[in-house]
Amino acid sequence: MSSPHTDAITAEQASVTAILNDAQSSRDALDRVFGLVYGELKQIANRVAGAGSSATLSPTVLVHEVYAKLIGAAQLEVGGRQHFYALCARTMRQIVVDHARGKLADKRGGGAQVVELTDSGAIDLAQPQSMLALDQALDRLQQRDPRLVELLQYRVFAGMELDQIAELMEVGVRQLQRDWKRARIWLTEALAESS
Amino acid sequence: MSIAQAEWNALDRALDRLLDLDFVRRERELREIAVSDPDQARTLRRLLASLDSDDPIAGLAESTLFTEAFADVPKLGPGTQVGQWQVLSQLGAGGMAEVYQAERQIGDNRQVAALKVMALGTASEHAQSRFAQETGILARLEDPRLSRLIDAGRLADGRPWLAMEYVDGAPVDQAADQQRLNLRQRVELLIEVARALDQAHRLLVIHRDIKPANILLDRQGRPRVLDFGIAKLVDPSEADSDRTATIWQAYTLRFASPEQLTGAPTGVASDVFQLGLLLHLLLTGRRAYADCDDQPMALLQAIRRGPGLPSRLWLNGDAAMALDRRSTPSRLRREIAGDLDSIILRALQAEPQARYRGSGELADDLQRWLDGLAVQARSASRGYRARRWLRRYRLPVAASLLVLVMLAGYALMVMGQRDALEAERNRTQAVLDSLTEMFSVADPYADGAESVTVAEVVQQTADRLLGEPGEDPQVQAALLERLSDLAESNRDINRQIRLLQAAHDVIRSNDLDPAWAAQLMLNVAQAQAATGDYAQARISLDRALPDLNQDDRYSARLFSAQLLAEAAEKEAAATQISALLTELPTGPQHAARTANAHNSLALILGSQGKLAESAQHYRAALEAAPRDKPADWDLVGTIRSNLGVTLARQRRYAESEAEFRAVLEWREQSLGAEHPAVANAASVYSPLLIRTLRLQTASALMRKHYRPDDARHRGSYRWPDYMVNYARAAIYSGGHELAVSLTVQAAEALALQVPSTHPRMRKVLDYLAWWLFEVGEQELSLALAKHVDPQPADSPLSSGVLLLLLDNDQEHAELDEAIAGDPCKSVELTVLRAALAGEREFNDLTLPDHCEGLRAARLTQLGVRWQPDWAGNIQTESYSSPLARRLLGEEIEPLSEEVRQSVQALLAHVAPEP
Repeated sequence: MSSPHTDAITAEQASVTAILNDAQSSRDALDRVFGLVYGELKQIANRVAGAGSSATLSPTVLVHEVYAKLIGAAQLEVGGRQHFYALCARTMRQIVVDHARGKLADKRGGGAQVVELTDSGAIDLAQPQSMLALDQALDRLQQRDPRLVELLQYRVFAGMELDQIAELMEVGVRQLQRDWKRARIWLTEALAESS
Repeated sequence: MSIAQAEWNALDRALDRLLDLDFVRRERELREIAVSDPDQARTLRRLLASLDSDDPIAGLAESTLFTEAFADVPKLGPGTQVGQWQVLSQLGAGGMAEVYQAERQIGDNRQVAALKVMALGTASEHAQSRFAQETGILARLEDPRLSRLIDAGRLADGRPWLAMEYVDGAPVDQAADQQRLNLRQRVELLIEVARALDQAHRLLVIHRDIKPANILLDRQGRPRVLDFGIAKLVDPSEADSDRTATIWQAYTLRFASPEQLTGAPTGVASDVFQLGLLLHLLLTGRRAYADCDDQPMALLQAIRRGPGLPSRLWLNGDAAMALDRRSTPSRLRREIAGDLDSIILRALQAEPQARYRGSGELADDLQRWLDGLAVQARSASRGYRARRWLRRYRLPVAASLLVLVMLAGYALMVMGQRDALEAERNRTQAVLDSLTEMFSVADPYADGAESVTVAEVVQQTADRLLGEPGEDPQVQAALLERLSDLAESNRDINRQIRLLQAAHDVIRSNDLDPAWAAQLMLNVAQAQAATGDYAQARISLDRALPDLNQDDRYSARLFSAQLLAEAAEKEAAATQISALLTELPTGPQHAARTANAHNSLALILGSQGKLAESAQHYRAALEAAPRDKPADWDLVGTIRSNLGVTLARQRRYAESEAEFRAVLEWREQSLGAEHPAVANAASVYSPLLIRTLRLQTASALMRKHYRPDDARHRGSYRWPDYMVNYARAAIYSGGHELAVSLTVQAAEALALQVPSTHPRMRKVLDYLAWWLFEVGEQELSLALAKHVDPQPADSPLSSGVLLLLLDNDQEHAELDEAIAGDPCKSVELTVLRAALAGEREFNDLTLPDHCEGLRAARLTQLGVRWQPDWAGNIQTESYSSPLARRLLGEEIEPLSEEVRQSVQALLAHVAPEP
């Protein structure tokens, strides 16, 4: 294992780091990274995943693999890290929602479907329409409080722990625990609004 | 959007504030909001309630949709031809590959194999030739404990595949639990695995992915190692992959070595590390880094810090895990503590060169452990070898005893060096400290048999120390003091006193530090007071006083005041403590002392009925109390509980409840729900719930924390009292049979502590007599009541039973007179007399608002009016008295024969026929 590549950063990766470290980056540049993250996520998932092996495919593992792949040993500033994780979380949401949409199209030939909440207010996430409803609820919540959506995406789609998120969003853990509860309350509310 | 943004913002702000409050304060705030804006309060309640329902998003990561979205790898269907092999079915899929069961025909024979198709393809010529070379090496691995490579090739899309010997078995950790293998069997298993790896290491083949899923236990119970060297075959950093530079490696995060995590070269040492992880899992049931091993960076940091002692994982006792090992948590802890701890830690060193040099060396050390020989992982100190010797000859000694033998051995060794340097003395001190600490982490709730052993050993060690004249008195005294700590933690007060006195005498007779001697004498005095011997405590205190240093003098003054209070001189005691409080300097070293002084003063004031002042001093105690060490939090918990009691006496029930709940919740979070201290907090809380007629809640709380068969509680001093509280809650919430049964058990447990004429026993029997009267077991009730001979003035509830005992007007008149000062009992007596005579209408009677809740509940059920003193503050729950139901003409379920017999057996024990 004395590959000369092991610790090297390719030019492309170096530029990713630079973009992420530069909080003033243009939207285009960030979108380019988004595409990169999307591609890597899919590729790594394809390698890691097999049917029914959800154990190895936790969002956390995926995100960390992407991090290792794109950032590697390079140093990221706080703002850059936040960009990166936010991108990952958003991308993973996109992938799951795209997949749900495709699946629904296969099944029903398109067309919207109302989500039914169970007695306990929980939704069955194995149903594609639930995933889409979740997506819409997040969009609605985005207009109320974008930070809550950012938090939800970190937690749900990137599988990050609250203390990591607190560090990333630069708030205290106690405050974040309250935010997390608020986020869950308002998301439940937003889901209920659509049913 | 159904809610306008302005309203949404207002609600959100309110939520943020409410979420920061505990339950009680939140309720209060919501009620305040409801006054000005009932709609908003309703909405907030609904929103908050949604937190309690199932979290709609928690399951997302496990959702099949999520998995599907990331998994589009084409599968091989049954019947697909791969080389000579035909796919039968898919066996599974791991991080690196899919595994199929496949078969091929060789002549007349059918051969079955596990066909492993790698997820990564390496297409170049060089990679292909290297693949062939590697598989050639693997094919030479002939050890029967390894699953052999039979065939290899690659699919059309470039993905390599391997046909491995098919092993029918289960992952080693699951199989070991299923078969309930004990510790030795598990160690033997790991030795087999390590020997197999050693064989491969000799051929310079490294596994690099050792984990339970790769070690199966086959039908014959033999461990079989799968996937040897495969990680290397598919590692792109080894290949000539030029497309991406990546630190991607083939490993399983949870079982990764630090070399793999950092991308450093992996060798034999990496396998040793992974064997260490496996050993940890097999022995303790937990992964060494279970907290963080899903995050590479956190995991790497944790590995560099090193894991905690594996044996410490049982501090809270995982009985199910121990059962899987045919053992108990405390026994496992003893067996693993020391040698196995050291072996695991040696294998798990962050630096490769600090680990065992190979898996063979690890196997050898484990074998030495099995044989009772000294293991290499530990330095061969003199005490250690002594312990080893003891184990080897299988003396029936507890681990705790061995600690003491070691302690004595070490001390004797130090004492033997008369000219020991000061540095050496300090080291002795450090060793003693750590030994004492080891002892104090031992489960103080362990069963009695072990305690006896500890007590004996403390005594023997002390005898031996005192019987060796000419040893260094400094060390001798220090050791005796430590031994007294051990006796104290073992709740053996008399021995603690003797040891402290012995240490004191050694210091005095050798003219060592007089302040030290005085401090020990102060401890003697405090221990004597704990046994109730206040006169002797006063004498010891006076002996201590002249030589105490300033700090200890403060403690002595507080203690002196406590002695006064015990001697019923409460005014004087209060004055002394008040004076002390004005003189105590501020600063962290006096914080606990100040808190204790306030707490003591508050207790005295409370006992004098000065409740407001008492509460004030409890609050001051809380203000002062330090919060650094676990012991500090014990003090804080005690003060808050005391404050809760005082607040309840002030009828400030909601505030009282907040204190009890806080103590309960904090202990539950920090100690785990199973800990006896949590049960204790629940017991202190339950009388308030009973008093305010929340009997279902009280019952549920007690049920949660007390299983009647839990040996940890049964031996404890207060257990019978707690059971009676439980019974009080149970009988008025529909569980009258449970109540009787609990009270019988309480009496049985108490019988082990005190004689049947003891006041505590009489009180329990008094309750039992009353419950029996309530459920209509008059004969049993009377038999008990005669034995108890209840006195109306102090009997908690027996006026009804007394009525049955009285047989002339003279005695009835005496009873009326005896309770004349207690309007609650007077009303009760009137009602019961009338009800027993068949009257049913009591609407014209009203109870005073402060009457005891259970009595009042009983009477209101019969129609007496009552406005409780907490009205409006607390939502009471339904209650129902069996007696009241019977008096109203209802049938109630009779006691089962089993419970009646247990009462009769108890009766025969406590009140034998003359």
